[in-house]
Amino acid sequence: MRSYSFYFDFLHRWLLLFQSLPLVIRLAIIVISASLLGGLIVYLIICTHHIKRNHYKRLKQQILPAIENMVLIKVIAHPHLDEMPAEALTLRIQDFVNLGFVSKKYKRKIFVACLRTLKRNLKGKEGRLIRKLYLDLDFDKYAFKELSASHSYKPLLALNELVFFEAPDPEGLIGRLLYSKNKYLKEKALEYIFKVYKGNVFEYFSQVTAPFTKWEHLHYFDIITNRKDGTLPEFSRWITPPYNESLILLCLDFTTYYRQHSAAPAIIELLQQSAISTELKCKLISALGQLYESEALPVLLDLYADEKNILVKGAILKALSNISGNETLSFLKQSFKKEASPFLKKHAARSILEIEGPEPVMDTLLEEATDAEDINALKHAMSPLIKYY
Amino acid sequence: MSRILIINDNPIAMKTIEVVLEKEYQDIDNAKDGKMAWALLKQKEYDLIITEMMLPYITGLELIFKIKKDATFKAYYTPVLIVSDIHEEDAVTEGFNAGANDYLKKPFDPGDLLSRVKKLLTANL
Repeated sequence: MRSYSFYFDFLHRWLLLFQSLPLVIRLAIIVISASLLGGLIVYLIICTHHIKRNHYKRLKQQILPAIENMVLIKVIAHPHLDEMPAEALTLRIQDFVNLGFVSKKYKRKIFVACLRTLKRNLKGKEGRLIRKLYLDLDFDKYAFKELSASHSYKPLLALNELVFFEAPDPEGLIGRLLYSKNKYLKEKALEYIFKVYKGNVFEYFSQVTAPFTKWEHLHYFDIITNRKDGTLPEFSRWITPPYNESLILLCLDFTTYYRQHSAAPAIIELLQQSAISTELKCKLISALGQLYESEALPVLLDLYADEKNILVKGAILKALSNISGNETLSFLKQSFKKEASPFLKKHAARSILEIEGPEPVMDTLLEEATDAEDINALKHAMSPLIKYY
Repeated sequence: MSRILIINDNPIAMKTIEVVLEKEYQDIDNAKDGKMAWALLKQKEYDLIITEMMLPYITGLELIFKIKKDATFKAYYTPVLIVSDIHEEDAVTEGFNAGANDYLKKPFDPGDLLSRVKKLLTANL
């Protein structure tokens, strides 16, 4: 009790002294104390991280050779590897458990990092056997547990690990992350669904409401086109107004990539609607061109006559280069002669060139052309060094 | 018996290649950087060099240039296999232009590595 009152008196005296000081000095004391305290906290955090890192490094040096040796002997140099598929092989899991690195958090981390490095180096049977070892040791279960961690980076790291090892998710835990507020987590979860999930991954398209960013567009296109398994849906299902524009743009890319000609009616129907953006309109026209849809010719010609936007007109002229025929050619020649815009002239000239080749149509046009603008457009169209979109 | 030199700065990657090759070849040396590899190449003769592109001190590419610079150097005619995780076409072309005989991209199939090694060693004989 005596010691408490001593401290109380001491603090009381200091408080009285503090109150008797001028306001500026009091403020200065508060600022200095706060910055000293802040500095101290930062220093302690740095020290903690430093200690943790050193501990991890030391631990790694100690246990990594044992893990490496065990994995290389039992997995890479497996005696029956050449005889049967990797999935059918049995690994002596107890040998790995006996190392004592599976249940301890940091040691497990080092083990997983080692498996990742090995899998990054090896594919084929050995690569699949490393994945099997990861799953047999139940490392995926620890990663699934991390998904519900409060730190934002922990679930992301865990998800990254699960995507890397293509761990199955029977409880659908990752599906829930598709609607996470954390955009990185959401993106990674979608990557998992597209890459790993063996069911109908495209059901997600029917549920998504938020638009994709340009980056997501590229990323998902890359993931889906690199998938080796699964059947492809008719992407025209999503080329209709209820779905958001970014999804329609992505599906148009898939339609042209997989040459889904059955999507043409849906594309034409959407094209004839007035309330669509210029970007989408150009993409729809370009898709018709890339699908070589001759049935779309009357629609495109009608649209060209009514359209005022120069970008859409340019897209039509460009798309026509893939729909060859006398009607197309005469229309392109007319457009080349009639249009005042150099942009449209160049697109018309380039499309004529792509349909007919450099001779004889281009030469005839060049002889007929009297206007300097026309000659310039033709020369540009014939130059392989000039590209315009 | 064929003598192989593996150059890789990642111990796990190096050990992996070594374990794969040990199934058929026993005389294997390894170097963890370009400098060490160069010192070994000056001392011993090898039948095959397996190198990574990105190495400390002397890169894999620089090392191949050094080897292929002087026709009197004992490793001049030794075939070189690049095993790297650099996938860009430019890097592959650069590797071949420098004098590499083959390029294997990571992740690799161990069977593929073995067959390429066998092919290069047979060509060398």
